[in-house]
Amino acid sequence: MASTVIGSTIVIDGEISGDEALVVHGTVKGRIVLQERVEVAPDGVVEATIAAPVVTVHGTVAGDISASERAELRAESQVIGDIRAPRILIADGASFKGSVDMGG
Amino acid sequence: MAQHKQGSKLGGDPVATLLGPELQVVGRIEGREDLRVQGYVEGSIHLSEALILDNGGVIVGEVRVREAIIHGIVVGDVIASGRIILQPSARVVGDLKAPRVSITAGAALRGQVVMGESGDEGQQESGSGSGRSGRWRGGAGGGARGVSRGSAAPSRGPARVTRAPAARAAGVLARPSRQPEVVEEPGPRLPPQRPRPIVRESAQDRDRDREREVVRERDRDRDRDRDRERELVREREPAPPAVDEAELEAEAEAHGDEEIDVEDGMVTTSNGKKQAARPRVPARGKHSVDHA
Repeated sequence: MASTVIGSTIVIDGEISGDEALVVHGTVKGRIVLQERVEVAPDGVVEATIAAPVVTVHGTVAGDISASERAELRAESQVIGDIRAPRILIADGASFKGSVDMGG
Repeated sequence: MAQHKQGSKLGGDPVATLLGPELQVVGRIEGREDLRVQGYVEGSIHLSEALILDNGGVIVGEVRVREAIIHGIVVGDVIASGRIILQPSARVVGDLKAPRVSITAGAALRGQVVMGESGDEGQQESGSGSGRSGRWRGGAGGGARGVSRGSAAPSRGPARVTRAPAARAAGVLARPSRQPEVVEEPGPRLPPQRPRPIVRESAQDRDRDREREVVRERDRDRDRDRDRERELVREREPAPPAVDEAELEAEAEAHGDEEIDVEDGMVTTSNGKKQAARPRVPARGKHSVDHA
């Protein structure tokens, strides 16, 4: 339980960076740059670009996602933005609008 | 799903919002739940609940919360509608404003403490629950436009206060402490001199001159007495052992109108100053000798 949790009523407007896993239940605007996995919970709203090794979205993301390992758009997720990752999972039921770049 | 995570008690529920030790947040944080900060936050924090700043956590910016429990470092003002507790490891540069403030022994604070009725000016809200929540929502909506990252200079309050404490802190930290009003002039350390106004100096001089005159007169009298005594002694014992009269005379001539006390080895010059005729003659206690 060392990972960072942003609660459902929390709004962060700015840049989050560091070397730590992050779970977003609340709202983040701006930029997220982490060396660990980022998870957007079902009630989470991210209006930011996300750069992390692994990005898992259950909630809502409006912004580009750049994952060096894997990006997962789980069921119920809503994503608007471009995704750039070597491996991408888009679950049945996920809503996604944007382009996908899986490198080459 | 996250609803059950709300309303966690201080330090109790571990699922409260946590900004971990390896995390940096640059920007504004708002919320209606407890927030625990272990990492670094640069920007304002507005909460309707409590803030717990753990040891190792750093906040550079304004903190506006219901309760603030601080173990870490804050550079900026802390304003609470409830209470502020500075724990022993706390380091705060900024003002504390709350109805109740407690500073535990060991905590460090540089700034003002304002207690009593919480500064409503600082609260920026009506205080009623509904008004508050409305305010938070409004703030969130307003911030949605123009996502200003980094600088996080949104509405009115925060931008001003986030910058001000930082700047002030930088200055305060650089300075040793409160700048003394009178700056000591650099230079060699001289023996203490008392500054004397000119008017008083003349008076003092007069006093000193008079004193000297008295001393000189007294010395002269004493010398005369001594001379007379010596003469008597010399008459009594024909061979004076040490002092040679002629030598004395010569020396007296050499020194002009100085009076020489042979026993003393002191020279009384015309201006009343006494000097050692020879370098290593210890002054006697009864004389107020000025080894100029």
